[in-house]
Amino acid sequence: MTRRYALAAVAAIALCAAAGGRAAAYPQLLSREATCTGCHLSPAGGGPLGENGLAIAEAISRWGTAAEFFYGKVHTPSWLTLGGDLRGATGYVQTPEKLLASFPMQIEGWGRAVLGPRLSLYVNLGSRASQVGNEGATFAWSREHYLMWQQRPGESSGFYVRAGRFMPVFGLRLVEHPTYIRRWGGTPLYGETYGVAAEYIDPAYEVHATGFLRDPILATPEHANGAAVVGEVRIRPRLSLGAEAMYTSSPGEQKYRIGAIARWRLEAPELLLQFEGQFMNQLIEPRGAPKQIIAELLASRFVTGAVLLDVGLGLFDENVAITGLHREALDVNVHWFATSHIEAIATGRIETLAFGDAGPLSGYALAQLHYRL
Amino acid sequence: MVGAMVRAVTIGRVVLAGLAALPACDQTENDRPPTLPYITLAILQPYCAQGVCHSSYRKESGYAFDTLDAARESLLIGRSGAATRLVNPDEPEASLLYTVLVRKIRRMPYDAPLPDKDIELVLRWIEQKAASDLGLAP
Repeated sequence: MTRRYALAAVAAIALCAAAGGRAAAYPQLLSREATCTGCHLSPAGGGPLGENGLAIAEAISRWGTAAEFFYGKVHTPSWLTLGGDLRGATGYVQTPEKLLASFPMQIEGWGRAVLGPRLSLYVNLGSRASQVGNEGATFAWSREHYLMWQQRPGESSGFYVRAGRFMPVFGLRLVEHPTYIRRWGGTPLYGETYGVAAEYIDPAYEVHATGFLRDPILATPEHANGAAVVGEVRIRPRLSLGAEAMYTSSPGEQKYRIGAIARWRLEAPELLLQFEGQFMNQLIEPRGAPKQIIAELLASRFVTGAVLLDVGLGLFDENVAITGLHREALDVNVHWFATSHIEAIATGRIETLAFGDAGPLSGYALAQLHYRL
Repeated sequence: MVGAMVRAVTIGRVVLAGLAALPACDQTENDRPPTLPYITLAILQPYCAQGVCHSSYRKESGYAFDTLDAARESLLIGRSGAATRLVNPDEPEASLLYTVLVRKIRRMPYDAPLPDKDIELVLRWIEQKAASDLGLAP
């Protein structure tokens, strides 16, 4: 198993490195020069873009259009920023049944209001699959809404404190929720909880600590209360290393996670390698303690000015003490930034169970369209 | 700064070394406990109870497996007739909970087929413990 996995990793990195081009700033291309706050207003990334993020969105797109809300044609008061995301996909899915499928992924708007020199409020609202028995009140709801205090407004470093509903800050924080490090790694789709996060961002390091409680209103997938901490040190201009830990407790079980993250931006060829490896001990009452490994190795590279290639390898072993319970995924994503608002993505996955020895092959090949308002 | 670098590298090496060593631990065959808590929290919850599937929020097809109570309730749906229940200890291999995991069409979980050993454990639980765990024993 180890040898085959090592060969697959080498092949994936080689595939990405073989494509010509250059690396540039993008949320998946964090380096010493680009923390999450280098582009985003949130210390954990995602959501509203800052001035530099808007400039980068324009710079990397094929037809560099104005990156502001509605191309800058709709003006809002200086204290209010609006935005949103529309996303859908269509293509082939093998589950292992072979299907053609089309589905919306995201229909979501957001607003950020500046409430004071250091205080802001962020709220998003989106159409979702509704709660059974409560359809009228849940056809749309807010994944994230929080108050944020920022020590140095207008800067990308310093202390941040957030309180409200958001995803606990943990791991590489990839957008792609099917990756194992999200699905089984503590931050699944709709895994937002109510909590408080204290975060410090510095060009040389960053630390995020979150305490969280399960949603008392909606029975969303995360039923646990807990705490998470992740820290990252940029020990060289192109290399950062980090560590993470999370504890969660829910009726009948407790989960302890520890992990390591690394980001290494190679110079020649220009390539960003990102790694996250987690070890989880799940204590199930009255008996059972499966120890799990969840890992992702992701190589990202701009192959032309507006085309970003990601090649990822995921590993999830749901019980390291039992043979034949691991699964592996090879993910390939090609992002084309047509304009600063429109992104077309070709995304594919091949997934095996114990390299084909423990169950059927599955995967997908999807075309995805993303429009950022 | 140098001290911080050394500490960071040391911590990283220890963590990575620990992760790398884990797969080399002695592995055993499928000796996991076939109990309702284990089946629910180690298999059904992580694989089947995603946000828009068999969670208490969405209850796709009327079933939820994200908590032990929700799983117990779902597994008892159709209690009046064994043929409509998800588990049938009298005919384990005819239980819907088992057949949806192995059938060719609309196999579950639809986005992540289970490893054979998880399916074996679910079947073993239906055979050995489902009746007592769910209070179905005569």
